[in-house]
Amino acid sequence: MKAWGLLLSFIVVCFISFFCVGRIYDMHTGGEKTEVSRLVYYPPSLVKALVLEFPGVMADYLMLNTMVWHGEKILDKIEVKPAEWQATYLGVKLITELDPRFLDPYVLAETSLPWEAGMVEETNELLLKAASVLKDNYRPYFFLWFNHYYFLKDPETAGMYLEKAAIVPGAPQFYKTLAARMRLQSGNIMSGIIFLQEMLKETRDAKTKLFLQKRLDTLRIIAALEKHVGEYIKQFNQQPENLSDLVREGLMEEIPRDPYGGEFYIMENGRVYTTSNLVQLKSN
Amino acid sequence: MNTIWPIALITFKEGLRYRVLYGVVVFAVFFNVFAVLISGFFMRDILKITLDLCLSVVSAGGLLVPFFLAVNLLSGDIEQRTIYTILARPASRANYIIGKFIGLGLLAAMIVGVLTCFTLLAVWGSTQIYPEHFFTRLSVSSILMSSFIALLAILTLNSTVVLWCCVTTSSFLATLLTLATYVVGQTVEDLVHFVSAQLPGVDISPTVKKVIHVTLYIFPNLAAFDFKQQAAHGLAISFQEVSLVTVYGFAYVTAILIIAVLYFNKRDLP
Repeated sequence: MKAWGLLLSFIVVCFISFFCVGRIYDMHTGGEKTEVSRLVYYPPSLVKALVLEFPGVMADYLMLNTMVWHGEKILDKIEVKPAEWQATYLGVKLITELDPRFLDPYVLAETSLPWEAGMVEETNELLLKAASVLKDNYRPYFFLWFNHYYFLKDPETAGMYLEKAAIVPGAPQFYKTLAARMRLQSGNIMSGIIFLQEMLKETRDAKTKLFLQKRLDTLRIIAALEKHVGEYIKQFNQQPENLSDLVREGLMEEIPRDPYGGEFYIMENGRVYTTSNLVQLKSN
Repeated sequence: MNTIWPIALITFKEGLRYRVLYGVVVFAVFFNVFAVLISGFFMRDILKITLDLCLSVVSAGGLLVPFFLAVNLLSGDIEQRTIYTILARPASRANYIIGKFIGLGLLAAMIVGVLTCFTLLAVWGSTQIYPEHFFTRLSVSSILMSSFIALLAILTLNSTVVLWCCVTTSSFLATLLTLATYVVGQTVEDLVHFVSAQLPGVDISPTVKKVIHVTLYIFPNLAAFDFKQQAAHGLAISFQEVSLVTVYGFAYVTAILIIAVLYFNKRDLP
């Protein structure tokens, strides 16, 4: 009788435990999500001292935390506030202080901070640190080339970084000719497409892939629209007033949809851009 | 001299009786499997993540000897008065100290050896799960070298435990002093860098600077024995650096053991 009572109690407490775990999980899924670790706000030298001989493990933990946080924002299409971008930057800075040779945080910074938060200078500062320690890796210089060419509109400095990337063993062969070719291109959309194609080739993480693919798709649409605008100018010796002119004249069947939820438009200089600024709009 | 080895072997066998050792093995297996699985969450540095976690387990597992086993095996002898049984035989106090230190060293070597094997197994497991190109930087020699240096760090810390156990009568105090030595040893080099750098707005008194510089020479510089990151990134560990650290480790251990023997020779046992 005593054994039966014990068994019954065991089953009851197991049931209560499973019920509570399920409820706690649902509560966390529906409510506030992961937060960037508060450690990022502490001076890196202090954190480095506190983790004793385990800075690598702490860097891994912070990276995972930042990635999960970032991934959740992408999947749920939640707008990231400026203070949160600052926290991401501080996080990457701390991670790379703990383990300067850790490539993933630099890649995370490069694929998000300049695009979404306009933090180009901060990202370049991180990348210069990466270039100084990852001497056998061409990616930091490749990223610096891209930032200078695409965001800072400084082809001269960009070319210098691409040359540096090209001489690192293992760098793709086409880097050597790319700098010259880029100057011949009418704009920097091409550099964005090349950059994102390179990033996608090396990315395994499904969330990041989704994020990069969306951006690449949008840039490809912009490149195609700019090509049609060029054809229109050739045919009519004037710039179309808006993109619907391209459809009306039969150059395109329809204006593609912006994956970010914005609308494409023609700027005064004939270039095409989108009202979404390549940032996910809430309604989409 | 011929009494050192029997004492070392007794210490080793006595240490094996502690069940916490088997707990470490279970923990290491669990953590290494976790390392292999969690590394898949990262974008590129899969090998680095696996090795970061596994080599940290090697270090943490090794630290079990100075923090738990050493204090119990040394202070326990004095507190429970089993030391008289050993010293009643023709074993000098110096031989007792050296024998105990070697026995503890054997325990540490066994733990580090087993955990390093687990690390290599975890890396092999990762290579079976994840694409080959993530492992181009794998350097088994760097992993082995990192573990060897980690063992030297543990031996260095063991020597200080021996000293603290000779100096104090309480095993609790000896544990606290060992913990303090470990923390100071891991951070003192960074502190010296900090006080040596001329940081704007930071004014450090010359006395504090001197004290910190002296601390670097008195306490073991345990941070110098940390090659985990080099091994995790597959970087070659320079022979010159390893040689220097090895010589430093052996010299420090010898110096501390001499002090411990001198103190223990004069100590009145309860």
